[in-house]
Amino acid sequence: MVTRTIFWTFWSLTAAMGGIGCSATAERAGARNDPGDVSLPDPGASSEPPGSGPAAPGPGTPDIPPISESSVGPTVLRRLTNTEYRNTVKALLQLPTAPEAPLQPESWSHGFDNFAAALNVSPAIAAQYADIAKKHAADFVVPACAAPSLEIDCARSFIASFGKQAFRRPLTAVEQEQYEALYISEHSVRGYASGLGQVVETFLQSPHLLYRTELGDPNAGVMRELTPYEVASELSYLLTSSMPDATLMATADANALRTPLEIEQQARRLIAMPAARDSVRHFLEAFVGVARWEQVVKNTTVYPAFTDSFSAAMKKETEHFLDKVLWEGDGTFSTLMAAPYSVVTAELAAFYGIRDQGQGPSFVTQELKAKERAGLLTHASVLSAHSHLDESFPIARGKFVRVGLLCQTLPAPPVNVVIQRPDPDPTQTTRERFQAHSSDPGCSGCHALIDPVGFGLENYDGMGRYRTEENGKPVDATGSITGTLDMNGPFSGGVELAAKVASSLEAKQCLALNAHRYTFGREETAAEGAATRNVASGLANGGMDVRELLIALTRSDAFRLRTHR
Amino acid sequence: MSKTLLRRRSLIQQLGAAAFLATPVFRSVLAEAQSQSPLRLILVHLPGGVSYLSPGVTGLGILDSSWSYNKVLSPLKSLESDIVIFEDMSYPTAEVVTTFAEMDGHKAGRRCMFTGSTDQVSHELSTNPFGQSTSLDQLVANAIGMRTKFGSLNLGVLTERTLGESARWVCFNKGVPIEPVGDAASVFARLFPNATAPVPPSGQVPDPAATAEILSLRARGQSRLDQLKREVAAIQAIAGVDERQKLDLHLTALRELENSLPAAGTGGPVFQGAGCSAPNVGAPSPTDDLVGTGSAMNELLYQAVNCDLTRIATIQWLSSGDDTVMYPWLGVNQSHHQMEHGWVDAASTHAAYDKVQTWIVEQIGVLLKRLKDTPEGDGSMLDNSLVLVMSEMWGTHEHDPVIGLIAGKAGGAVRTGRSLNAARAPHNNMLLSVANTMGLNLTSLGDPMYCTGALSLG
Repeated sequence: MVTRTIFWTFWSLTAAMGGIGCSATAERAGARNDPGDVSLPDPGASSEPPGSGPAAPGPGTPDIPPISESSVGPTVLRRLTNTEYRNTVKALLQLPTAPEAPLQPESWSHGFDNFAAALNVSPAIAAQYADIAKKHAADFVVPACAAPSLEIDCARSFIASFGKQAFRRPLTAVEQEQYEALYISEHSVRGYASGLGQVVETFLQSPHLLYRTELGDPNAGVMRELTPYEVASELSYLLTSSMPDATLMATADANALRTPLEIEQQARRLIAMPAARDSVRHFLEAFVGVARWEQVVKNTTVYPAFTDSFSAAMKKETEHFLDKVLWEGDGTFSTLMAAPYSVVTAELAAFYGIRDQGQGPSFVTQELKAKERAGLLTHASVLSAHSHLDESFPIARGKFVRVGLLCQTLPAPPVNVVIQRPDPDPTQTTRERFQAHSSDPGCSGCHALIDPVGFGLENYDGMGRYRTEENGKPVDATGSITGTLDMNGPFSGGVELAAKVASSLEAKQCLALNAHRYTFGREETAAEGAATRNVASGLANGGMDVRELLIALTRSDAFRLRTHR
Repeated sequence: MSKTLLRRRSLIQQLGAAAFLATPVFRSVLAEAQSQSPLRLILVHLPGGVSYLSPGVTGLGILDSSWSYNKVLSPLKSLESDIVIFEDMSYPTAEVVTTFAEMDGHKAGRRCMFTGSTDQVSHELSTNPFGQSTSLDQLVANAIGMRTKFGSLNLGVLTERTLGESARWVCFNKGVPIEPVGDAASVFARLFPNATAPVPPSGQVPDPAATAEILSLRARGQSRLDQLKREVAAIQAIAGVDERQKLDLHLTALRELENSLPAAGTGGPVFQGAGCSAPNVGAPSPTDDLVGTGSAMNELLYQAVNCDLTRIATIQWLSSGDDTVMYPWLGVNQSHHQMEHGWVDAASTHAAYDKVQTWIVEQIGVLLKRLKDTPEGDGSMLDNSLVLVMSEMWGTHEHDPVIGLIAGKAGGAVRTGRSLNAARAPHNNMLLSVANTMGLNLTSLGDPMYCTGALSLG
């Protein structure tokens, strides 16, 4: 079997492609016919030219393509994420804090923890749910009942009201009866409190609690509208990572979550709640690749400054920054990508080369060096997350911009290529070492798209510290980007790249596609992708307010409709 | 014609030329009946293979040269007579998936390792991205898992650390990923829920009141689980086709909870094996203690099998493509992924790779020795087990030839102490042989295009 040896290109990354090429016109490998699989570059794959329309500023927008069975996502069961489950148990039982007992971690898919296909109830997590249910049922203070003779009535009404909260919809008559039977049999042995405890213990691990159903009316046909209760859950888990509150349930009771306008009204109410901060921040942290921070590690012999506490501070900086822009600023993508300030401790200020304001370990908003830093792309956390243990690794950064920020698809490296990193050389810069690597023509096609982008971030080392020299040689941070909708051309350094990203429609469309995937826990259909790109186009002129983006998604047909097979 | 198509065609031709058929093996069922000892299947994922440089098509030659060829496998020297090594086995499914689903090599290698399946897509965004893939452990569990309290036990040693998407998944049941569990304390709690309860001295008549209480608690738990099962079934009746498999897994989970309900007459779990006892595993951190977690998982797996809580177990060591774990106690400050991609210069990477892989193999050896040192029937527990050790790729990121190693005689069905020349047969053939040795009666496993018949293990 033929084996070619090339220099290091990529690892877990899908990267260089041999023979097939990496251009807009190249034939794709394989026979897959996946409409969501966008050839590169294909930023404007909407049904209309990007930026051509006002795109969904309000209900009833004419820009969304006609709906058909093939353009709507499938009915699905979405198991709660661990955060959602903990928040739900806390809200349901009105606990002071969410349960902390261990839960099997989610499998992340496509950068998110809430993909439906990746979440199920395995034997391992079912046992953990059972333990949590047992503990909290034992601790549960049951509502008092006036007289023993009234206990069955008290139990009935408790089952109806608690059950409705747990299931996020009213119980059916059959379910009500089944839970009453559970109560009665336990009541006959151990009495009222234990009877209700048995009921609570069952509700807390019920599949109706653990899964958010998006099935619509089971008697409906292939194309279905979600029930108001399903929409209520969809809204509350998207925007507050928890079960619907009383107002939202009342709205569903009133059958008033049927139209885009009705849904939007509730979305606006929810996104103003404190819980929305955690949810929106979580989405954006996942988008820029810092959500699983415990997995960002460095070789501390190379980066001794990357201590546990400094690493935690980096992550906190990004959290504070996101909150600042989202809830005190204009909340736009452009500001997230180009803000001249961040929120830093004294230690971080020193790291960024500015004078602190005596804040010590507190986080304070400060202007950063305008020529060195701008927005998320130049955060120490984001740069660290897209580097490796012991070097800046420009390929990972170039790939992050292409795939993470522009949603472009890069093919996997060719089969049977031995992928090796270029050896370290104390006489060379990282750029010099990596520049030589893709001399193989089978690799250079794709790497021409990746490497010059990453090289433009070479002023930042593997933990994001600014540098102008490496191994005694000056750092060359000139970069260039091609094959994009609106970012093509040379740039120098992270600040110029950040400016390109901040003003790019393609990048805004990519954030919108990510928001779509996060909202629905799956890939967009081709029609949904087109509609969502149009939403981004409509919001682009104002820099694209991330809150408005999420609200626009709740207004979409995709939010209310499913195809059942 | 594109290069890719050419490649696929030549692959098929190679397979055709190399394929050979062998009679499926059914000896093991008989073996189990004769020995009265349960047959067990343990799958081990050793990421990154046993050799840094691919040996090409000439095979490993490990046993022919008294193990001197391969440093990484040297910790298994004392178990030489209990092992079969598959030489020159091809791995077409991983290459097909890499090429056609454009999946990176690490992920493709993992996904196909125990499934032999090619019906998966790389993006994982659709509702059913894994097709109908079912891994070897789940195939066997679906057939015989109901004989024990737990159908299968799927463990991971720091697999959760890996950043790559869904890097943990090597096991699937009809397209539903089976998560390896990385938290030893949770595994312990699930396997030995009553481990701290006093066990009544043997021969003593249980207190009738205590027995009544246990029976009553059991009934309480049973009615709860009955309700949960009814609810899952109700959702299953209205869910889409793809979602029903997911709910099947949920039902399996509820069945296992049912098996864990307190039983009358015992204060603790029912122990069946010689020396069966709840292990003392401590509380290693599932996120950063490789040594502690590895040793705890080994012991948990051993006792789960020893106590006949399950007969099917998997254990994944780290994950191919791990970028987060270093090995300071071995003097290696690189990640597994870095080594797989030729970190630093070839010589120092090779040395680091050998150290790390040898260490992991040593830990695998600990489990094998634990089984071998446990008498059972006329032999040992290892004699009644089939432990399959597989890697998704070589040290240098290549799939082919794939490493496969079987330890244990599976009740006499496997002739050990040799290497077996697979002569370029696809690795699905080996998976098929193992499945049939475990009592299945299959003619093909995984993608049938890459399964040309069982290899004879006897």
